[in-house]
Amino acid sequence: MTSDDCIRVKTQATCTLVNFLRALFSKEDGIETEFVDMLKPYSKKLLEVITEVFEFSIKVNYFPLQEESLNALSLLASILDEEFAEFYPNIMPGLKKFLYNLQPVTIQECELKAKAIETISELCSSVASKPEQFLDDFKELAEAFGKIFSTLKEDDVQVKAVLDAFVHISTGMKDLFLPYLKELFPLFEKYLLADIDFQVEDGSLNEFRDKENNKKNNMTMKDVNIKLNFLG
Amino acid sequence: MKTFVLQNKIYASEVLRDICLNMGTSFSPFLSQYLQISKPLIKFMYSTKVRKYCTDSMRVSILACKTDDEMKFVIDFMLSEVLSKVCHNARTCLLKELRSDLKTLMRTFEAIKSPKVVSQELVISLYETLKLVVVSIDDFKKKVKDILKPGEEFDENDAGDLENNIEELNEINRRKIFQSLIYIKIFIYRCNGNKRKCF
Repeated sequence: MTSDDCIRVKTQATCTLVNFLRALFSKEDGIETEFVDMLKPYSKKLLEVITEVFEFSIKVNYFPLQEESLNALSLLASILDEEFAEFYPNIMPGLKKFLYNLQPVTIQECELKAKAIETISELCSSVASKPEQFLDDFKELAEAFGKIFSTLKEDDVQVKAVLDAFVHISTGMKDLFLPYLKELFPLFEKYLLADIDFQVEDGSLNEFRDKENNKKNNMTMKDVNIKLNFLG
Repeated sequence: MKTFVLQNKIYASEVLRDICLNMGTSFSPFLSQYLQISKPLIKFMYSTKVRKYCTDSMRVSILACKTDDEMKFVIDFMLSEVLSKVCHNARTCLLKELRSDLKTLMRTFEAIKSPKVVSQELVISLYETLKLVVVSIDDFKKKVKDILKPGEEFDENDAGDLENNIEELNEINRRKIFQSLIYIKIFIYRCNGNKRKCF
């Protein structure tokens, strides 16, 4: 098997695991305790393998594998919930390093960074019920996400991921989130008060004006088009 | 229309509500600012979700209050706007939204521990609103019954619509009754000259 084949097979295998986990633990139905119990004996080995795959994906710089391994980590964290706390110290440092090193330029890189933020915040959420030993991490991440948030353009795919991350982190930090909220509130305000620029335009107005100029007054063809300025 | 701006507005309104819930009373320094932003968006015409989250800002703000005075500020500032939205949804038979609004009202009043928080004027407004909901729902029931008139064609789609409508109406009625009970409690409290607690 060539190294390219190997990467593709690893990606496919990770993707299969992600689909399997998604099907078992659909959030709409709620996470069944019996499934969590079923997964527990394999969780340590699974997390070890996924962490290894994630590190490999960074080494070979292969985007689909990075994305799928992040998906798998995120899912395992939300499924294992409190049980995930014991694996947190092994996984979080690598993820943070990945996040800080990633300087996205292309849309694909932005999407990957958004995925990394989602995974990190999911990990934070899974340990939020016993936050004492993770508070330093939460503070560091709140600051880092705050900096990222202040530099994002409104149409960046990372906006949703960062906003969700604040919710996850505030779950663990509670009142300790106050200093960060002071910095973030004006940004939230900006997003909430932004003008969506809804315009209704008479599509036949110009045609009507031309006809008017030519003394051909015909109003029956008049229609209204909604002008949609997608992505600005 | 800038769709991403609308999407961000939805995210931001949801996130701010959730942060308020997560921080509890630590959020209280931001209550005034938060409500100033969310109040005009209660009737934001381009998104149901923005309207829902901003209406819910009244409930989560009550949970973030440290004192009765803060609660009174929240209620005085927000309740009339929320009731006006409830009236609009009742008149236009926006059942899903009406159901959601009544739930927000129910849960808001569940969190209020002292009847002093709601002023006389707002108690009257609450009563008028509930009256309007009763009348509007009765009108809507008549329309639903009309679907079943003999001689009319009635297919599977109509059956589905009817089932949904009945389900919505039942839920609205349940919430309406709960809200009325709260109203009656406030009324009894006021009739007794504010002598005893009623919540």
